Parts: sequence; C-alpha cells; structure tokens
Amino acid sequence: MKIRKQLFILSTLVCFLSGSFYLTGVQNTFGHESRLYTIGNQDYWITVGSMNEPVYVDDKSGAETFIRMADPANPLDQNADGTKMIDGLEKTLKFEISAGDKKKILEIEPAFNDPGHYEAVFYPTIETTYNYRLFGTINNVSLSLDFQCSTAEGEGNQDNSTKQISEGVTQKAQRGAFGCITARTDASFPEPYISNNEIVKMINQTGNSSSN
Amino acid sequence: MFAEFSSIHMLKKSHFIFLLLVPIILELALSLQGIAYGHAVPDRYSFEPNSLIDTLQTFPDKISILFSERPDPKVSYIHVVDWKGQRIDNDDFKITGQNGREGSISLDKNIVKEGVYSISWLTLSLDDGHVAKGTYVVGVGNFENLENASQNLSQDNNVFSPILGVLKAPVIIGQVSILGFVVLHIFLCSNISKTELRNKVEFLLTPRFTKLVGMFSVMMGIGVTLLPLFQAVVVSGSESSYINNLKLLLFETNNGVVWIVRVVCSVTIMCIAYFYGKVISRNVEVKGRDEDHSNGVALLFLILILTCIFIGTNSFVSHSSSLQSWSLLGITTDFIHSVAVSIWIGGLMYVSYVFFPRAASINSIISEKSHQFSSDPKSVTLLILSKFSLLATVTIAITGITGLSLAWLHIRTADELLLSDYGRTLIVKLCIAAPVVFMGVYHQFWIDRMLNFVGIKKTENKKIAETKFGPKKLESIKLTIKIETLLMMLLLCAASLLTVTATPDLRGHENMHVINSEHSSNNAQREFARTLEVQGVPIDLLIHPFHVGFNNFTIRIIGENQNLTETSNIFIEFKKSDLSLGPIITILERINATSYSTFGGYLSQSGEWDLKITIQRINSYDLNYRLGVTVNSSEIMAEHDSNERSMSGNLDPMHVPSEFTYVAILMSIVFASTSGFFFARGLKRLTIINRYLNIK
Repeated sequence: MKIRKQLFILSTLVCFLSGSFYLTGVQNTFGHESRLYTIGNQDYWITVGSMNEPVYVDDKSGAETFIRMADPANPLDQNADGTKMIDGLEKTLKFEISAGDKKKILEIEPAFNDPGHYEAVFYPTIETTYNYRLFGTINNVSLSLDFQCSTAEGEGNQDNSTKQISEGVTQKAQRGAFGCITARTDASFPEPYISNNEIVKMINQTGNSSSN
Repeated sequence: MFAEFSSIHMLKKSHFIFLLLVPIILELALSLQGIAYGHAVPDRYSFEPNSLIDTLQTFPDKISILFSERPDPKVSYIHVVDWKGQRIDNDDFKITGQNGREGSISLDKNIVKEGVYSISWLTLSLDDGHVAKGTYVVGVGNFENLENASQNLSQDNNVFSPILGVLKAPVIIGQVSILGFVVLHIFLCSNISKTELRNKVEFLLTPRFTKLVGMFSVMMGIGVTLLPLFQAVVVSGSESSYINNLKLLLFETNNGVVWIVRVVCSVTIMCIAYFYGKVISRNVEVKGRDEDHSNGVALLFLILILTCIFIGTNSFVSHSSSLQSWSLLGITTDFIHSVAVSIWIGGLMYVSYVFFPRAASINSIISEKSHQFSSDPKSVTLLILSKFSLLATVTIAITGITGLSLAWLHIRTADELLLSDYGRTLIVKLCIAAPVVFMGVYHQFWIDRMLNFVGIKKTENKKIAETKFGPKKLESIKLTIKIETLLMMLLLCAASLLTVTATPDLRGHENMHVINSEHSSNNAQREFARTLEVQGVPIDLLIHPFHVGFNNFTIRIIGENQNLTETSNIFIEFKKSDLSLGPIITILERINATSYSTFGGYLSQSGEWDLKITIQRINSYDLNYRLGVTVNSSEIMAEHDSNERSMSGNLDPMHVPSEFTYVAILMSIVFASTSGFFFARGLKRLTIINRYLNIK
C-alpha cells in the first residue's frame, strides 16, 4: 500500500513537472514576431503583430509593425543599443490582411510619437487565423513578407537560419510569434457575448426562414 | 480356483501401456485444437501490436511488455528488428516494475527510420518455468495497409502448451502413482498385526510394487528432463547455441534448481525402490518370515518424503505461486490437493494393479494362518476394498474442498469460468472427475450389497450369496475399478493441461501506459469520447486513456463534404482556470486522411479543464470547438469505473468478491457432510466384515 502511495505521488509529481514544462515552453502566445532581414546591403529588424493584444473579436485592433535598423556590432540582438528606428516608410509599405478566403489591403500610418512604429487599424470580426503581408519597398528593394498569427507557437521561438525570401531580401533570424484573435466567449460578463458576425448570421437565418 | 483367479487378474503389459498412452494421445488431440495456452504471455504492451505512428518523433525510447507472470531476465528477452533484420534495440532487457512482470528494452532511436518493425519476445516464467514466445509488428510512417503487410507476423504468439502438457502428463501420473502406491503399501502391510503374516503379504506384493514404482520414477525423471531439453530448443535461436542455453536453463535459473531437485528425487526413488525389493527378499531369506522387517518400512517412508518433495516443487511452481497475495495459501492448498489426489488415484491403481493380481495368494496365506478366516478370495477383496474406501472417502473430501479453494483463488466470475481457457479446461477436468466420483459411490454400494450376502445373510442364504457374489461379480468390480483408473488417468492429463494454462486472474487487469493504440483491441482502459460540431462540421474527440498524466488525443473529422486537404493544422489548447494553468497548446500530427493525434502529459492536474480545438483551414475560416472536461486521478477513477479494477483488487481474492464464494462454501459443506456420511457407513461396514472374518 505504501509503495502504491509513493508511486501515486511520484506520478503526480512527474505529471506536474511535465505540465510545468509545457507551461514554460509553449504557454505564451501573446506578443509579436520579429525577423532580421538583410534588405539590399542593410540589416533590418521588422517586428509584426496585432495591435492592442490580447485581441478579442470585435475589438479595435489592427496590424502593426516596428522597423529598425540592426546594430552592426550586434545584429542578432534586436534591442541592442545600436539599433535605429526607421521612419517615413508609410509611403512605401502597406499591409495586406487576410482571413479565410477574404483579403484586404490597408495603408499603414505612423504611430503617434513613436518613430519606426506603423499601424493599420481594422476590427477583427471573426475568430480565425489572420495573415499579415507587409509589402512595398525598403531601401529601394521590393519586398513581400508574410506573417501569420499563431495558435501554437510561442515567444520562445528562435531561429537563426538564413533563407532567401526574394531578390535582395534575405531572412537571417526570427524571434517569437503573435497570437490570433480570440473569441470573447470566455471573457464576456455578465451576459454571454455574441459577436457582430454571429448576430448578422442569426438575422440572415431569421430572414431566410421568414421568407420561406 | 485360486490359480484361475490369479491368472485372470495378472497385469497385462499391453493393458497398462494402453492406459498410459490413451490419455496422453487424447490430451494431445485436445491441445492441438488450441484449447490451452501457456504462461508468461503479454498482458499489455507499451507499444500495441499493429500500432502505426506517423512520425519518428513519437517513436518510443523503450518497448515495455507486461507479462502475465514473472519472466526470468537471464533467459527472457525482447528484440526489436527492422525490416532489414537489423536489431534497433540496445540489448538491455530488464525487468521493471515492482511486481517483476514487466520487461522492457531501450531502443537506439538514432537508427529508427520509417518502416515496419518486428518485436519478438521470449519468456521463461519464474513462476512455473514455462517458455513462451511471440512476435508482433508496429509501424512508423504513412502505411495505410500495415495490418495487411504484417498479417503473418502480427500477434504470432507461440506458447507450446500442447507439448508442455504432454511432457508434464507422465510427470504428474508418476508422482501420483508413486505416492499412492507407497501409502497403500504401508497402509496394507501395517494393518496386518501378525508379523509372520505381514512379512508374507509384503513379500508377495513387493516385486510388482517395486517394478511399478521404479517404472513411474523413470517416467518422472524422463518427463522432468525433457521439459528443459525442449525449452532449450525453444530458447535457442540463430544467435545462440543449444548447449549454452541448456546450461543456462539448468544451472543459472531458478527452474534449473527445481529440475535438479526433481531429477535427484526421481533417481533416488528409483534406487530406493530397487533396494527395498532387495531388502524384502533378503529379509525373508536371511532373517526368516517370523522376524520384524522394520528396515523395509523405513525405506518406504523415505520414498514417501522424496515424493512429497517432488510434489512440493510442483506446487511451488504452480499457478498459486503467481498470486501476488494469498500465494502461500494457494501453494499449501495445491500441495494438499496433490497429496490427497495421489493417495486416492494412486491408491486405487495400487489396488487394481498390485493387490488384485495377488489377492488369491494373499487369501490363501491368511487362511493358512487364521483358520476362522474365510478361504474365499472375495473375503480379502472385500476387506481391502472396505479399508481403501475409508481412505478414499477422506481423500476425496480433501481433494474436493482444496480443489474448490484453488478454483476460487483463480476464477471469480462466471465469464472467467466459461470463457477463459483455464475455466474451460477446468470444466473438462470436472466432467472427467464427476463419473470417477460416481463410480466411487457405486463401489461403496457394491461393497454394501456384497456384504449383505457374505456377512449378514451368510447362514440363511449361503447358496444365494454364492450365486450373487460369485467370481463373475468379482470380475465386474475389477472391471469397473479399471475403468475408474482409466478415467483417473484422463483426469491427471486434464490436470497437467490445467497446469500449463494461464489462469484468468493473471490476465488483463493491470494498468500500463499505452503509447499508441490506434489498432488496439483492448478497450479495458478508460477513454473520453465526444462528438462536437461547429459550422456544420462534426468531429470526434477521443482522449485515451482518460486520466491525469499522459494521454493520447485523437481527432477524427467526420462528415461527407469536408475537403480535408485544405486543413493545414489542428491545435488543442488546454486551460485550467482555477489553477491559472494554460493555455497549453499542442499541435496534432496527421495520422491518416481523417485523423490527427498527439500524445502528452497536458492534463497534468485533476479537476476541470477547458479545451479548445482549432482546425486551421486554407481559404476558409478556422473551426473552433470548445468543451470542458473533468479529469480525475487514476486511482480515483479506478474506484468509480466498474470496467477497471485495481491491481491489488484483482490479485487478492478477498478484495474482489468472487461470484463463487458462497457456492464454494456450500459445495465444501456438501463435500464434507457427504464424505462424513460415507465414512460413517464405511466404518460400520468394516466392523461387520471384521466380525465376519473374525479379525480384531
């Protein structure tokens, strides 16, 4: 009996530790995804994510990007002292956002009093996977960079592999991920929240059934 | 008349060989029909037979098999071989787990590639010394037809029970016969008070007695030696030599020690029987017939002790030794059962094959010495049968009660009795035992009837008595006793088959972590299954096993119009709000066209968990399914789930009430009271016979 109890405690401990491992390793999906690119002959850190994270359906949100020139002395550290925020890119860059089979191109705006930070506001109306494509030119080089919100990937993700994206654009590092839009189901109070999309569907269904 | 009587009952060799061979042939025929199977066989697998895993990442680090009995690590093994015949295990088979029934081997994951792997196992049971082996296959990669590809290999278990049963039959017949012969020989001789008369009777019976005891000891010796010789053949593969394996089996395992003890016992019994014969004839020649020959009795007791040791070794490696608790009770009961059966069956064989052929001679000797003694041989026959029936009544009662106890220890439900191989073999054994017992009862009444003519009514109806109890009647009783002996041989063969058949209580009751069980047929473990639907797309969620710890999570997308090629990923998000755990997110691996699966310890705490399943689709919105599950710890679940029984509960009969407890108690009482009734009648009958024969 003693041995069985000890085994039970041990197995609980193992389960707890394994749970903790997953917690520390996979838990945090909220954040932004940063990538180090060589565009032309210059290294840039381009960070992309959703505005006002964590984002719930029907919240005011949008796609945002932070673009800075990497520190030549320490290019792999995006927070190194030598990094330099790049402004004025709202004229050459745009976001294309997509979800399901829907796509939309958004102009980007520089954030107030925050050089190198650009925003493209939209209201996410459905809980799904969102793709942000940043396209245009930087340093007179055309680029098209795809970012996808992640359900599973965490901020701990780190990749230092090099891959050619397009002519003059090479990805040299990648850090983190950004979360997808979440339904308000779990956070609504006191009444359950029904998204605008669901209300529209209900109205349409009611209209269809009454016309039938 | 005596000569005629004696010649009729001479032991014919052909009859005896027939008696020995028929049951063995019948048993072989029964065994070949696949009724029985052997001992340390797999109960649970960590990697289920015919499992198919999608990726190398989920390939296990080790293979574990939970066997029904304890494998001997010196001989037993698990080998994992790839499709090219190359071993991918580290050859480090070891016994894990506190009960010594789980064997495992680690794998060299560096050389694991996509393909089909054969897992071979061989066990030498520490509990009963039996060898069993088998092979099954598992696959890594996207094989759609693994089962077809591995049809010939899957679950190819070979437990050699038919051969083991046949090899064991002469051993059991031998031990039963020797013990019964010796007990009856002592019993018969010690019942004659006059030394001269006793010496004469002993001298008459000894040659046949010693020959038969010698023959049975040789049978036992050969039988017990053939067992390891055969096992060495089974153990020897292409990689190991037969001689080395035989040495290993005989000198480095516990079963080897048992073998040595048995062989020594057999040889010693044979030698003592030979010397006993010499001593008796020498005593008569040198000391004369009037002196006490106590040195002969000492030799008989020595044979008795050695036979008991031999039977004891059988009990120590019986099914009862496999019980986790009540093992000692089981072994003791088994031993008492075997001894009682030996006295009963062996005793009857002694009466049939040693006493009857000499009955006339013994009667004439007695008549010479005691003038009041009837000169008719049937008088002696009646006396011996009456005395033996008393002994048989007691031994049948003990056999019945101990047999019921053993059955109660190993079989606890009607299903186990009717559906398990052990239960079915036991039923066959009981079907043979029933007519044997009925014939015993018939003989009791026969003696009573004859007693009426010979004893009570001798003066009034002597002519009628002579007619009713003539030589023909005596012939008939000898014939029925021989038929009873033949049935008893069959009974012993059924018993030998029973010893090589796994008991139902040892199979299928223990929890073991299952890595992948897509094709598993074992549904004993708990699982959580739920169908969810969002946007008209139904999915099946299966969590298996469903308890705190590591689980398999499988999602199957059902519905006819789903274009699954457009599914990019499936995730499950785990959250436990009360402990602020999560979200813990895992991505599922694609198993086949419609199913995705993952394995992990995500449900790390008992209580309520919120699960969110996300199916990511290309060019379509995601499908998000939410549900709450309540998971409890394994032990708590075990208490609430009637389909799952705890380990201690299964192995301790007191913790799992048997359906047969009351039946067993009732039958034991019936056995005891019936035997008591017949014993009382037997005593009364013996008194009448003694009075008739003027024997005090």
